[in-house]
Amino acid sequence: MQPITITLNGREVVGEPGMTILELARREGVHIPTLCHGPHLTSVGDCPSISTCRICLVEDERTGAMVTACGTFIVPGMVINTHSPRVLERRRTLIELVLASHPDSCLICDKGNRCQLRQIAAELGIGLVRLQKIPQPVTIKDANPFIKRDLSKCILCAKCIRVCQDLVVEGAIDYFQRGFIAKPATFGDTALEESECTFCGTCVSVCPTGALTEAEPAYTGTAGTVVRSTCPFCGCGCSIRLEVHEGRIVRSAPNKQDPVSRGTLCVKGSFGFDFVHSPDRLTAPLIKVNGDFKEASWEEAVTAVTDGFRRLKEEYGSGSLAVFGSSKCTNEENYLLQRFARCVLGTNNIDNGSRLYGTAGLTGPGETGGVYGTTNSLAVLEEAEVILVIGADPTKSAPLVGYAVKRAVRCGNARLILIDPRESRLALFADLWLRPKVATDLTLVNGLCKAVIDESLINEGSVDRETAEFKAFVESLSGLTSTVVEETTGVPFVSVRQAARMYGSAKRAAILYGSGVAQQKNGTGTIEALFNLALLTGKIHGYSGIYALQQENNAQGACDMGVLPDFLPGYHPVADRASRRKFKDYWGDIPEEPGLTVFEMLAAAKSGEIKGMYVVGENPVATFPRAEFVREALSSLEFLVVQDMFLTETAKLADVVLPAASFAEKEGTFTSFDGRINWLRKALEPLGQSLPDCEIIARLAVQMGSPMAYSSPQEVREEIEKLIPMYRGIGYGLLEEPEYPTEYSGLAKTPPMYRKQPERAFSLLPARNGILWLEPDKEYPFILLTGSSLYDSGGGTRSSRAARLGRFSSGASVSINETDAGRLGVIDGEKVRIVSPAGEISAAAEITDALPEGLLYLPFSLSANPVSQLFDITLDPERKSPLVKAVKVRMERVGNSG
Amino acid sequence: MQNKRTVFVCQGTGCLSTGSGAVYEALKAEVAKLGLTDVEVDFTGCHGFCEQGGIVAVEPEGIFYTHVTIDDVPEIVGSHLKGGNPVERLFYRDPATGRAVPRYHEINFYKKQQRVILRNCGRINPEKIDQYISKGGYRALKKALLEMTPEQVIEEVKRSGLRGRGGAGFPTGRKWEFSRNAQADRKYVICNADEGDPGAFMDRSVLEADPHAVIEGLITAGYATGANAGYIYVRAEYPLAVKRIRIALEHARERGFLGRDILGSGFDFEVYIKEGAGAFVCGEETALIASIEGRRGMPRPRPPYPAQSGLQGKPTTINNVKTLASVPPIIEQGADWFSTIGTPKSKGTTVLALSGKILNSGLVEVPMGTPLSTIIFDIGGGIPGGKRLKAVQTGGPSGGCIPAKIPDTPVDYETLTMVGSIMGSGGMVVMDEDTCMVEVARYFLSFTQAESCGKCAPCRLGTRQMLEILARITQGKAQESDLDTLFTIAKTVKECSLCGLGQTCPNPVLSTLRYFKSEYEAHINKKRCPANQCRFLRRKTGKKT
Amino acid sequence: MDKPPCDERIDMQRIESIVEECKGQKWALIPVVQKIQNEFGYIPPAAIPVVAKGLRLFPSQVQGVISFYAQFYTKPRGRQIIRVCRGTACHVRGAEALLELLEERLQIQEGETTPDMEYTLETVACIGVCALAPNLVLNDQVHGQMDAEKVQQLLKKGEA
Ligand SMILES: Nc1nc2c(c(=O)[nH]1)N[C@H]1C(S)=C(S)[C@@H](COP(=O)(O)OP(=O)(O)OC[C@H]3O[C@@H](n4cnc5c(=O)[nH]c(N)nc54)[C@H](O)[C@@H]3O)O[C@H]1N2
Ligand SMILES: Nc1nc2c(c(=O)[nH]1)N[C@H]1C(S)=C(S)[C@@H](COP(=O)(O)OP(=O)(O)OC[C@H]3O[C@@H](n4cnc5c(=O)[nH]c(N)nc54)[C@H](O)[C@@H]3O)O[C@H]1N2
Ligand SMILES: Cc1cc2nc3c(=O)[nH]c(=O)nc-3n(C[C@H](O)[C@H](O)[C@H](O)COP(=O)(O)O)c2cc1C
Ligand code: SF4
Ligand code: SF4
Ligand code: SF4
Ligand code: SF4
Ligand code: SF4
Ligand code: FES
Ligand code: FES
Ligand SMILES: [Mo]
Repeated sequence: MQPITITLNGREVVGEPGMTILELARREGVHIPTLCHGPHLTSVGDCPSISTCRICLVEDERTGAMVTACGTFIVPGMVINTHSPRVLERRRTLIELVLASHPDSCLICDKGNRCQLRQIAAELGIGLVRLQKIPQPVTIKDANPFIKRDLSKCILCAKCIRVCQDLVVEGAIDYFQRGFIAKPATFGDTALEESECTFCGTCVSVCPTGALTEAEPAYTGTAGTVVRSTCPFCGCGCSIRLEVHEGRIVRSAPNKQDPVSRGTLCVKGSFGFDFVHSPDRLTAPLIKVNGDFKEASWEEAVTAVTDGFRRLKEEYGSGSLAVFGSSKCTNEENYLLQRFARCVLGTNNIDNGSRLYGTAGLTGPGETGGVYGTTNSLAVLEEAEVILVIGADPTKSAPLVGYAVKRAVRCGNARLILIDPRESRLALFADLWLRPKVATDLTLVNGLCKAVIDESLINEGSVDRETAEFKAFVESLSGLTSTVVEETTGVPFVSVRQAARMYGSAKRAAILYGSGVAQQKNGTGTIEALFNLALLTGKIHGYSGIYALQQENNAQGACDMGVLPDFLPGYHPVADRASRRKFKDYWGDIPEEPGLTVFEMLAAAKSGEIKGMYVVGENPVATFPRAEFVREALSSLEFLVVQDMFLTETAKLADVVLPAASFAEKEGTFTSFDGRINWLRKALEPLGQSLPDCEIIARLAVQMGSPMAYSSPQEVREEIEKLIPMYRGIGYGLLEEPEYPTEYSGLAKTPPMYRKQPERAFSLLPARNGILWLEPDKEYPFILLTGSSLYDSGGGTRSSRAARLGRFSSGASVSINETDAGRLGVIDGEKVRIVSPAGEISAAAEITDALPEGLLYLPFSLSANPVSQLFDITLDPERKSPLVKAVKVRMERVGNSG
Repeated sequence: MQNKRTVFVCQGTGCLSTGSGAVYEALKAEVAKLGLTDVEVDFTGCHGFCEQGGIVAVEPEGIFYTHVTIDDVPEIVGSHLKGGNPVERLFYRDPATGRAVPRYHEINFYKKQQRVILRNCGRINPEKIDQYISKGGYRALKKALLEMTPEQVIEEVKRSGLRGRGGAGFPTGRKWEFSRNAQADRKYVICNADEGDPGAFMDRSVLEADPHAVIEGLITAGYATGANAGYIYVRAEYPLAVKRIRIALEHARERGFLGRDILGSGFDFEVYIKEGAGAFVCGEETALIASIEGRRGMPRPRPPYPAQSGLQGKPTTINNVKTLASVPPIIEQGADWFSTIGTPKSKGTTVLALSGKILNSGLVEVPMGTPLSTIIFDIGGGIPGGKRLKAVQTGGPSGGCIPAKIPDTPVDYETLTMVGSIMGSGGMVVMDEDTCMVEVARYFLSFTQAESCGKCAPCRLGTRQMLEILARITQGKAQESDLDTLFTIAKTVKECSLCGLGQTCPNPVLSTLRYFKSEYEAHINKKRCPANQCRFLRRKTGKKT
Repeated sequence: MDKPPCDERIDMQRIESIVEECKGQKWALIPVVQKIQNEFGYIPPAAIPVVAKGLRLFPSQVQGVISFYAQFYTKPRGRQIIRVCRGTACHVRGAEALLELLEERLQIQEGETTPDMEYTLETVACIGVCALAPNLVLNDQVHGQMDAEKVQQLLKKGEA
């Protein structure tokens, strides 16, 4: 492409086609003020600006016209003045017009020095405004703990509207009225908390004035330092900017230059960071003496731990020890932890929290397909023409993915197929919504495969009809008639066929599955069936893909790093001699027997085979099914060490509790669910005596007499890069972060750093038979579904201690269909008892039309009243993961019975 | 057949408001009662002379009755249609001479006009396609589709010099060419019938009186640009126009002028009607597109122009009603004929809505470049009550005031812009000595202020501030410095606004400041309204406030 | 979000069936809302979430569109609607006085409805009958060349 030469303030400068005047000027170091411009904001056409504020006006000397720098592309021969007297006069008048309808409250405004309007006014030397004051009428008052609006300061740049509608696609606010009284408003012009707002905070981060600010700011000034880091809550791996002032995080804001998160966050990333400063944080090691914890020094604690493990190892052998590692800790920490388990403790009894949703390791479809999670990157999800979401609620559990799906549907041309018995938020976006009976997805997906074959939608390039495999596959579907599909799933076959056509005929299509299938009976089969479907239609590679949605912040990394009983880092089977050899050169001897999964460990603890356990960053007592059993199992241990930031339900059972530093107090990397490697940087010193997990593990190793000679996480990364093929050659050890260009060129051109997807050859697997499993009966006439709630995370250990999240958490309400509620005589808000064969809990009832009759729904993240009490431990036979998504129950009115 | 006469009763909105609906029914009944088989009673759209409504014309004689009410019906039927004696007392009376003028083409108001766009208005029944065809309708379409390539059509339109009648005056042929050259799987053409200017009603008259002319032009535009779908965006206040278009579309479809494979040419075209919902700014093309798509009608920056990215992001051509109605005569009679009308740069005719302090208000179509004085005095009949002409406001709220001292200003795009006004949609308000120019500026600004979409800061805030200042001036509460402030804001709004609304809405203020500054000063310094109109400054004579 | 309180007289089923005809078509928003207004005289706020869901939009967006266009009303209007033309020709020939007169007679301001729900007083931008200015529109019927006396007559007729 031909470079373009223009004259800028009398100087010839050269830019590229497609560049705006603003971009070129910024590159040339010419400052042009902007208010409504945001390079990361989407809008109609190719230009990132909607040009509403007009403050960036410059003059084209040839035509005499005033044009916006942000919205005008350069053309050869332009003669642009950015600061001529005329331009400055117009800008001044504009700002005066704005200030004439703006309060004089800079001194007490939360936006303070960060206010762009105030900065520009100062630059232009505007003091007193001579115009008549015409204030903008404002009435609403928000009462939520996250966002405060003062629309008398709104300049209607519409950035908030654009992010809410086009970027996070929550649609909480839009323009309301027109002309002078136009403003951004919710439906009904209500407070935000009465709207569809999810408090993602994205609008606050773009508002150039004090119109949108944090409701309860920790600090209102300009923070001293800004540290780029990664959100610690879910597997989306959003990049965040932590603003630090005097040893505290005062604000968290999205990183507008990150090409994947695109300057968005969810409520947890924006407002959930303050658990870091919770007074409940552990600040010193604790050692239990006669049933009570006593604070101890690190020397004492480390000695106590090593003595304990050494004694058990000597007495009962390495097989009596087990480690439960963390899907929240960094890659470096997890790498060290599994080396510690294998080479210091000498056991493969190591597992991590991702066992809970059943994609830990390569079990199930992974064994043949080599699949463990997501096959493509989040960045290409929006390219799909069809997105099939099954058993996942990304709008709550993985908001960044939710945004991408909604954007693809709303702003792009994607069509959405949703498979969910419950009306999740995505139902609003779905072109086709199938509502199967709970846990019948295997049959449904097999039905889709069958329809794909019947409708000749097979991709000949990826499937050879002559192979034995294909024939066996077709054979395995022979019993599956449309009647069987309809009767089992309750979904009319015409809809199944329609879905198959939509999915099959698209060129690019994505499948997103979540715990709604993974944590159900037949989950392994269903995931296999989804892979079969993608294979048959040739939709595994390129712009298509399968996305496994159930992830904690570093679940993917924990598995990649080999925090698994059967795999070494990089999924090298531990039972494989060659693999062990490779690692042995670096670490020394590695036990060859695959170890136990976490539930097997607990069972073994109960039965006395496991005597000592080291739990790092997990809280099974609160979140595993059958808390009583877990508690008993852990209590039967001779020695339990828990390493956490808080004295969790699990930590309370420990003999030694080691205080871990939070994500903000350490350095390292997380791998997002789609394989992006995101950096954590140290923003704060560890609280009290707490230490980063890396450091603790290293100290334990030294004390155990097998020091692991790494001086820093950096050195760990270098070894990871050497030993794990997926992490090889990406400059992971060296490059601190991908170089994002500065703001002027819009979205970063440099792609995010991805660890490689391993090579795998997929093959069709014979369809399994769905086993009908959850049938309500007389005694338990309902099926209760569990799912994530937006304002909580996991067991709530962290989120309930984030002051604002904790206060806004929805509390224990169980949703019920109106007809069912009527039948039971239950009224909205009434306290009810939920009884399952395994246990009971009480909760407030909430009447909804999002559920069909016979179904109840309860978010699981309730630290006060764990849903897990309703569940028995039923494990998927292959993946050894618990089936905790649905259980049959009855509902009782508390006043009436019992 | 030879002696068959048709009585055309005007059923335009103006005449209807004088009860011409009943006149029409009564005429039919009376004619039937007297068994006049050689008389057909039919109706037309607006003749453009509503001041004289209800209008009844008898063709082919060309007898033109004015102010007809239901009581006049027996006499018209009995005396004229049956007896052959036209009713003189219902003839038009020349306001100057008081002479009765029996025939349409003898009336001064019509005599000096050249009707190209309004060629059929008032002369045919808009609900009968055959009448349109009998006047040569759809011949141009046949010619274009069957004898010309799209490129040739564009070439012809380019050569004719036709410029958009929607206000900006962009050359129509070039606009079509952009869209033709754009690569896309789908393209659209849109007829802009939003006509929001207060004081303009020519598009509505055309649609009500001659809808096929617009449809024919739209199909031709579709053929030329390569679009297979067209939209007509009509403002909400025009229900009758919508009804007429609907009927016309149906008839055109029946005759094979619409639909698949039109006239065997292989060209497919469909037309859809979209009704506006009350927003002046929706006349702006990008806002109009947003409105068709079901969104708020807020303009967006251009480029990209609709010809590159319009409806659904596809290349889209937008033309005004009158622009499209001009197309069939150009195709049929040729570019050379058309380009003989008008001035070197502004070809063809312009339709003006003459109103205000003038004797003959109504629709006037004259060649571009016709001097203002011809329009006001020869056609319009001058100012009533022996008052003096003070100024003429053209172009509606985006236009400006031309002072009486330059009455020979030729009405064309260039000249009007030069004197600080614009052609705009063709509104022309005549003002006499009793008109306060400050109040006029305030009035127009109150309109644009209320119609500002609010998207961009200069227009949203600037119009509001200007309005406050103008209000202060008319109330005698302003200071000297307010004039400077007013001027500065007006310049800023004009130069910095995002769309045409903001860019032009200071025109009434700027042009009155330019030509009538002393009136402003009188309000401010002497607390006096020279025209004695401003309520707060009214001298205590005559009527009370 | 909870449904906003529903006006008892509003037939929600009818609204749903209007929406159903255009299900999923975003472009149909304005015609759908027009249709609802034609049937109910205004757009009941309770209809907005229904329209939004049916057309796959957000209630905030639907509200944004409705509040943008002057012809959409979210409050019930009177049985008789008087619209005074504020076009240029009418303005020049005394529309303002006409409006003041009506405001005085009906004891309401522009945009308001009399307490007995009989009259709503509005203004309209040019109805294109400028020759007969000043004009008003009473229930879609144009009345030209208005003066105090004619106003009096019109209002009397309305009462009868
Ligand atoms: N009925 C039912 N039960 C369920 C589910 C369900 O759907 N239904 N879902 C299940 C699923 S999928 C999961 S993953 C679990 C989630 O449950 P958990 O995995 O227990 O999740 P969290 O409560 O988020 O985090 C566990 C602990 O990690 C600690 N932690 C966080 N960061 C660090 C760190 O950097 N270092 C250290 N040392 N510790 C840290 C926290 O303080 C917390 O105590 O819940 C499960 N339980
Ligand atoms: N805010 C928040 N986000 C989180 C977490 C959190 O605690 N809070 N936890 C993280 C963790 S650890 C995980 S594992 C993920 C979980 O994230 P997801 O996998 O998205 O799980 P859920 O949010 O439970 O949503 C499951 C969906 O499946 C549907 N469903 C239930 N049963 C069936 C069925 O039989 N068939 C079908 N087709 N659908 C069914 C439910 O109605 C629900 O919509 O979320 C992660 N993200
Ligand atoms: C505020 C505003 C209102 C407009 N209103 C109209 C209108 O009512 N009718 C019209 O044809 N053009 C109107 N226009 C001009 C259109 O944007 C556009 O230029 C025109 O429809 C193009 O058609 P033409 O080339 O045939 O003139 C308006 C422009 C602006 C800025
Ligand atoms: S928003 Fe900016 S200009 Fe307005 S009061 Fe706050 S700091 Fe001052
Ligand atoms: S916080 Fe998020 S959802 Fe709420 S208004 Fe802002 S952008 Fe929309
Ligand atoms: S609230 Fe802030 S971001 Fe939103 S329009 Fe107003 S100034 Fe812009
Ligand atoms: S989507 Fe996940 S990673 Fe992103 S801010 Fe929310 S919780 Fe954090
Ligand atoms: S100039 Fe006025 S009407 Fe045009 S976009 Fe700006 S605010 Fe809207
Ligand atoms: S920054 Fe360019 S118009 Fe606002
Ligand atoms: S309506 Fe009859 S002449 Fe205009
Ligand atoms: Mo999980």
